[in-house]
Amino acid sequence: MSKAVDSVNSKGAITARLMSLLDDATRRMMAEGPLGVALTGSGRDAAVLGFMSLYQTAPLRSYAASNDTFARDAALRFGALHQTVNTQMTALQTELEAMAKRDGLQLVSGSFEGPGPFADDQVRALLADLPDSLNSEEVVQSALIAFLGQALARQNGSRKST
Amino acid sequence: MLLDQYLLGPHAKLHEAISALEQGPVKLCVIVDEQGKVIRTVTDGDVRRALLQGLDLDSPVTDFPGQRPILLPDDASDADALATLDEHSIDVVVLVDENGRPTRFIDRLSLSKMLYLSPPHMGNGEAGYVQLAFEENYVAPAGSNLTAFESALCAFSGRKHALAVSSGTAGLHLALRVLDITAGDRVYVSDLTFVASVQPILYEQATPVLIDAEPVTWNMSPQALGRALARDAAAGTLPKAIIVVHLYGQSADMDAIMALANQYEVPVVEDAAESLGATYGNLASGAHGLLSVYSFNGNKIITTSGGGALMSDRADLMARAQKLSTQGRDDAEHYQHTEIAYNYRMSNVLAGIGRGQLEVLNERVAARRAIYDRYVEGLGDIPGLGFQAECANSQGNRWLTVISLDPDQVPLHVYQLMRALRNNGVETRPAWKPMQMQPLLAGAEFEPHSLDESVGTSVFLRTLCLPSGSAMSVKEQDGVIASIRSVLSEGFAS
Repeated sequence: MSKAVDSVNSKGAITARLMSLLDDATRRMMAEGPLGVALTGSGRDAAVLGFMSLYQTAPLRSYAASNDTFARDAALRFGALHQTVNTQMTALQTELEAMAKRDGLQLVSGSFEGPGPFADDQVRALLADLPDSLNSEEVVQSALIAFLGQALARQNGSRKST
Repeated sequence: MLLDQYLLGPHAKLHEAISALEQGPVKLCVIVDEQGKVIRTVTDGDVRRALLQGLDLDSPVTDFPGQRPILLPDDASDADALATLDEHSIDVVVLVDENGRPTRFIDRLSLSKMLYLSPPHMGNGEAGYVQLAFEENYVAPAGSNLTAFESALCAFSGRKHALAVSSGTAGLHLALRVLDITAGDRVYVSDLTFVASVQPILYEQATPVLIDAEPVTWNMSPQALGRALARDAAAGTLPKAIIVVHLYGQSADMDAIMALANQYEVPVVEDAAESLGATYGNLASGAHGLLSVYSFNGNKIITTSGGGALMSDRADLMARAQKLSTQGRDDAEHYQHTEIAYNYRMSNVLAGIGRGQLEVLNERVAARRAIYDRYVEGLGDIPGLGFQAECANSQGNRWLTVISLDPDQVPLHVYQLMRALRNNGVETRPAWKPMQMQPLLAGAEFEPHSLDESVGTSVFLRTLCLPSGSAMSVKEQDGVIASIRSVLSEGFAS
């Protein structure tokens, strides 16, 4: 197979496709109702906030643990109204969901299990069907660096990869 | 404009409202409840009415006579705001989020002072040429202005033939038609561009193949183009044309692109909509491909309000384009037609504007390049802030100055900078969103710059177009530079 043909399934093409799918999935989710973003230390969470910020002029709302400095950086980058809670890690998700609910928002995140654009069927299919030379975490991080910078994009947080 | 200094709580007293009204240039304060939701607004007039009714300075503002606050959703446009201000005969309107919490306000002063991205800049001759059309009574898509405008375009660009049309998109559509591009034909096109570069491909039900940008000038990547041509040549699926965009007035690497196009014998159409007045090598931008297109839309470096031109050295192609632009009338005394065609010709009145504008084009290019230089001087020392580069052997017209923010060095995303500047009365815009990210083109073929890297998406997510109008004063530009520095320094400090 020639080098030229390989480009269709190259990392360059796949990262572009991933960003396009995430952007579109975010746009569609936002059309369904108001959302808030859980920031739990993952670059993917920050990316969800970032994609939402492309579509919403009014400040977004983000939620995180009070000691999560990466979450604070992500909120600053995308101009979110950031609320924090001081709680045990095991209770964090429940607390964040409660905070979002009080604000009348559905909580989304960068989890592959959802809710959020990383759980979109097309996104999951793309990452599940990568060439052997690529792994999903590397592809996701490469795609997000331009959006978030190296430090935020490489955060792995408490979320599981596919 | 931000609201913080104008916000008062639900138990605020009259004297506090007066103090708030005295603080800033906008004579309004906003009373919010415990949840931050707007209860009412207070103006100088409300204070006067309260005092006339006998309320004292310690009276709560919630006791004021008054009416329901006039509010708009935060995503309301300036036009919406102006309509609301007019409708209610007020000078300030508060914008709120979905929970009724204030986010900002818009006042008449800030609307009138908005510094726009690239407004029209008329010279001294345009009105005279428009008057000429009236005097000759050629208020039609024919006349002396049209002929003179096309001749002047040829002289400026070095092209043998020009056809003035209703838009750059129309010119591009005609280019594809004269190249006999039809349903199913493959057409390569720059991925990082305005959608008008791609729409004519879709009009003809042809298949766009999106070629990524390169990381220096953000124009079509010769590396990606060469790879795509090699692949499609091997597969027997070479494109019928390559549409190369000169992004924001800076030329693509035409030596490399033309060499590849000639090697594979694929015609090049230059989308020079943004680059009139730029040069590459010894030629004008738009003088390299088989056909090229200029735009005279209202925001371009020169304008006819709306309009465009198709250019070429090939008389046969241009004769066919002329016919297609005027409903495709066959040679006959009567009205006879054998093919689908269009009403794309430019009006003689608008061509008059174009004549006057072309006379000042060199001045406009010089002004925009000076604006770019001042931005570099005023912002170039900010860590992580960069500028769109020019291709070697070229001189762009710097239609728009575009900055990039490195996310590793700047803690704010460009959209936050854009929104903060808007609140300061400065219009900026995001870079073109790449075509491969557009729902319209979902699933379109895309050739990345390299096997490891796609460039266009990254450019989109970290760049911003700055006000670049040639009539912008040094003082106005200094204000833009100061605003950018202020917003970014606040971001760094947070």
